[in-house]
Amino acid sequence: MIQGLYSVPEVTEMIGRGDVLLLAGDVDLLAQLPAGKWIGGSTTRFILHADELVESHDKIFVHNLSEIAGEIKISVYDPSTISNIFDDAYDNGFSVLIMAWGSDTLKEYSINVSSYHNFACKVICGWITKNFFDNENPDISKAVCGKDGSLHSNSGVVMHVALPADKYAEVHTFSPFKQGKGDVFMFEENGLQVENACINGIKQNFRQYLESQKIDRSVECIVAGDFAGTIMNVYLLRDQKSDRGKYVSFSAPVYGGVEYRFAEIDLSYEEPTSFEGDIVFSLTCITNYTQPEVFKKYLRNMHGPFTYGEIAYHLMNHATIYVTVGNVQEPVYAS
Amino acid sequence: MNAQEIIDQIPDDTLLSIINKANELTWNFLALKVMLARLKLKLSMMDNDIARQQSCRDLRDLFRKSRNIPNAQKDMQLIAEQFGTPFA
Repeated sequence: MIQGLYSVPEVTEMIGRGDVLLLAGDVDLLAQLPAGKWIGGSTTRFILHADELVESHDKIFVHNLSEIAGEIKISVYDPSTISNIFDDAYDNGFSVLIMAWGSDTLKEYSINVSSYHNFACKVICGWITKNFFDNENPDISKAVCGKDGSLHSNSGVVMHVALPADKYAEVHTFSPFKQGKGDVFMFEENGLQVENACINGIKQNFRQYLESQKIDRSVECIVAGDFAGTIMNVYLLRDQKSDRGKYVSFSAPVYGGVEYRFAEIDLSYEEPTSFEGDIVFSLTCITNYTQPEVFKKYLRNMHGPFTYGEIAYHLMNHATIYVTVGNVQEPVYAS
Repeated sequence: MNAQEIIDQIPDDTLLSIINKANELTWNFLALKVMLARLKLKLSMMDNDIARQQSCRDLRDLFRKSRNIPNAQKDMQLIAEQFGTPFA
């Protein structure tokens, strides 16, 4: 499986021979590529083999899927069509979704995905593009549709990948964070912004609760939700201008009915080291780039872009996502 | 019996118990975890016959579509051990 950084001429050659590519790189580089079987997103930070963290403005990260991909479809979804993503995905395969930070399609997907038809019955993963901590230039954050080279800041670009009948795909997520031992909070509904939460069963204004607990939002503050045993993290936004008075804003949605706690690092956590199948695609949160002294050791088997939101069905933060492709196994249940 | 026939035979009551106890067991298959979290929330907000039947259909669909995936198979075995379904 070809994975790594390549120059524009090298990627152009792969596209020319019909390779199926998932790309990540500087938007100016992606814009130079010819049309073909690829999608891409803008970022300039990458993790390479041997847990090397790099910034590159002259090379593109390639996940080359040609060895495993059967048929593919490349589609662009806007907020009114993204709900079709599971229906459009192949029954046996996986789909990679790339969206720009702040896009309307991202907001729609992140809040409502669990209500989409066929949710979780097809494999959906992906990532959010954004210029590195540059909130002043959101326009250079793009998802790119390789079918025609179009750049998208408000729509999502998807590659649906079919696999041969004897293969299966599975998406996985991990994070060294776990739920802390503090208060349990549950929100009333899905959203990027909340007013109230049930704190240990008692409804309160969540902003007032944070103030009463003297939570310092000027530093990284993560809440961790328990999704039947998988922990999904979201950040409290540091920029409280978006809070609109009595509300609190998050960088990814919180989900109504899910138990959240403030997150803490699990010092006993060990990265996954054995895999059922081959890793064909992986990505990880940008925070792992900015704090390598803490997180680099968890990423020794991962290669790909650093991202501003990670998708494994749901949108989440501070996660590593990877897709494996393995050989199907007939079930051996007794009858 | 093949896997699909076995999945079809899981009683709805068992599927509802799986949803209700979603957080009490250690699952392997991510798609099942996110599905269980969604269905548990749905039933906590509207616990009526239609919602229960739809939730059972959704869960059964996921089991059918993922029956050849090893992590899903591990979870089906876990269900057999915990709930005594026809897998056992």
